[in-house]
Amino acid sequence: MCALKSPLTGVSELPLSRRLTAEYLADLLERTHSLEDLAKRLALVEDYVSEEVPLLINKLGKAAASIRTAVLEQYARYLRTQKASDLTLLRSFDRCIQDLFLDLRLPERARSDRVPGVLTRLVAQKAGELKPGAGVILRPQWRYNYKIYRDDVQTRYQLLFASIFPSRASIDEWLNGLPDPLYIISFPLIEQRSIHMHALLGHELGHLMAREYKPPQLETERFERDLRRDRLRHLRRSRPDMHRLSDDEVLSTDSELVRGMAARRAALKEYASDAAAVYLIGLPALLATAQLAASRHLRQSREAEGGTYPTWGNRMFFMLEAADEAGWLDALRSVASYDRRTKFAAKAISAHIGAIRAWVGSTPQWHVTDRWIAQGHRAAEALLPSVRTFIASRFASCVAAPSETVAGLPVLLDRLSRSLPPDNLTQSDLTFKPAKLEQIFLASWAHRLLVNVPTFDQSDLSLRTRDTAERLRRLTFKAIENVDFHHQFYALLHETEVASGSADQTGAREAPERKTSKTTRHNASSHRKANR
Amino acid sequence: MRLGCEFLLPSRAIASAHDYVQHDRERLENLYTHVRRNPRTPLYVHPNQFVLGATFEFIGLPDDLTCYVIGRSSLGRTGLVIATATAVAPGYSGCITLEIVNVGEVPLPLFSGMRIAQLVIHKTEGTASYTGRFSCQIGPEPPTLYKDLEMRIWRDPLSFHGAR
Repeated sequence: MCALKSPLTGVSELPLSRRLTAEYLADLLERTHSLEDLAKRLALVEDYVSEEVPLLINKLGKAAASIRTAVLEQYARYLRTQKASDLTLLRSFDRCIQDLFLDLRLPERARSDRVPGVLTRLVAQKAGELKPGAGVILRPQWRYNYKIYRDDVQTRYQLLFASIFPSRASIDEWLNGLPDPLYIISFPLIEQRSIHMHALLGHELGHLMAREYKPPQLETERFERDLRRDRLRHLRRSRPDMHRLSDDEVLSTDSELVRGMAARRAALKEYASDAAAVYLIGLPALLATAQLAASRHLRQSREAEGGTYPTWGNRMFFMLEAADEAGWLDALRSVASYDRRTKFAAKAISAHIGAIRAWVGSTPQWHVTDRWIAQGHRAAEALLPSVRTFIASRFASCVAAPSETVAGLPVLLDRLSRSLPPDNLTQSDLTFKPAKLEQIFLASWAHRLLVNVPTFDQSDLSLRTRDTAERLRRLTFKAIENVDFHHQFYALLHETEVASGSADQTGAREAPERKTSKTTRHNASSHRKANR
Repeated sequence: MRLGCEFLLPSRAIASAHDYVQHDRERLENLYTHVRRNPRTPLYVHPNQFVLGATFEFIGLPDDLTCYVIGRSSLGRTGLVIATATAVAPGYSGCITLEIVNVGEVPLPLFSGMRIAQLVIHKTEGTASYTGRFSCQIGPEPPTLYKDLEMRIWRDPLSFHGAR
């Protein structure tokens, strides 16, 4: 028997020898203890941005305890049966623990000093519009990338635990209490303070819709057939040493074929998510993507990675089309009856969109240089009309009309010009009608373009411009905080009202509580009157 | 005025002193622990503990009004001092930082969103526009005494006299 690799460095596929089993088992149990301890300690941290974070960490710790029990049961079974397969099953526990350790880092970073906590709840609210009951954990990452993890937490752990937990019921019990679905979204830590770029979170939320898009089967088959034929021809020509192999054997080891197919899938997802972002967040999603795309360093690094993403130019072109179809450009043109500032703002946005159009038109590299990935992208582009139709139909009922969002612009821009947060849609300060997230983003971007804070080239900002940009950033954050707080506070008041109502019905007679509830009811009713 | 969600808690043990003469912005910020609370979870202020908080309300004063921040008497009776530097300049816009101290005998819970202070507003003679360093703050901010011109006297006396 050759030496077994340390479980900490990697898992060998060789069957475990009896001699090493005890050591391996002890190590496995030790790591479940470590995971549980670590999760317990992390769950005690008090500055997480949302309640889901410590809840998920706690669940991971409990999973470690369950795995420990399962490991011991599995080992006991092996001792009874002496079957090598029972022993080898311990490997799946090993992999599971490694995955859980890696997963622990996802919620662990969602702390209030790193994540704009106020944004988390509003993003979760947006996710809830797409998937009822959805929760979101927003977390930073060092790498420059906005990313949504592939599966929601529930699906991920049902797949992960399927082989090690005894029944589906026990997995469901473990997952009980977590929002269903719960998504984890990462944003680049460097953009922590940059509220305007956070409009890109709309793209990540768009992935929830993009996953539901299924390209026509016939088109998929035709593309795969063509790609296989082209690859085969290419390989037969370039690799004469393969002449003895059959077609299937030649293609079975071909990574370019796989990449070409993946490129088409990835491109469709990205395009669909971009369109969804335009519907969900509006023009700020387009403007933020343009700023990202204009950053030469980021663009080159992304395209040099050899990834399967479509080029920024093509994505921008598609987003512009989606914005037009969603009615955003018409809404911008319809501000003729609004005040002067709003008209200027609308013109500034239109001019900026014109600049984006010009940039898209002048982009020299229309497709990535890799021939096979470009073939996948071209196949995806043939399906773009159907992607647009799909996204438009899905968002027909669940998002506000662009004209409604633009209608809030005069009041919010007026507030921004007076150095007030763009959160309140009413004229009088005595009443508070909270703005929506997309309205805040749009007003903030519009003001940014009005006061000429550069978006494409930020290399040479004057002190005054930096100050203006910083002020705008703060006001936007405060606006989001106000709106979020408003929702939270009234949810709490409502809960108190319901609780005190049920206490009245059951005849609870504790004087202080009754007094509190009456006061709260009075406050709630007076707030409601004020809101009217 | 209601209490905001963010707090800065000065750390006692990680620096020998709160040296606002020598410390720059980063070092001063490191002397505080940033804490955020939602309306459901309280922040406990222990006896003699000092906490920087801020009002939840973002105010924008016109150029001809000034105001003073005064704590609520109900909270004052529990031993909570809300603000020590109470004047707000005309033309100021932003949240107001509260210097909260518990001078009572027992810990006190503070909830984000609770009514904590009041403003007494005065009309000024003439107008003035605030252009100070705390303009447009949206939460508590640490002091910026290192920016004071006179601090150069104690920070680097030789260069100060040379400059003159």
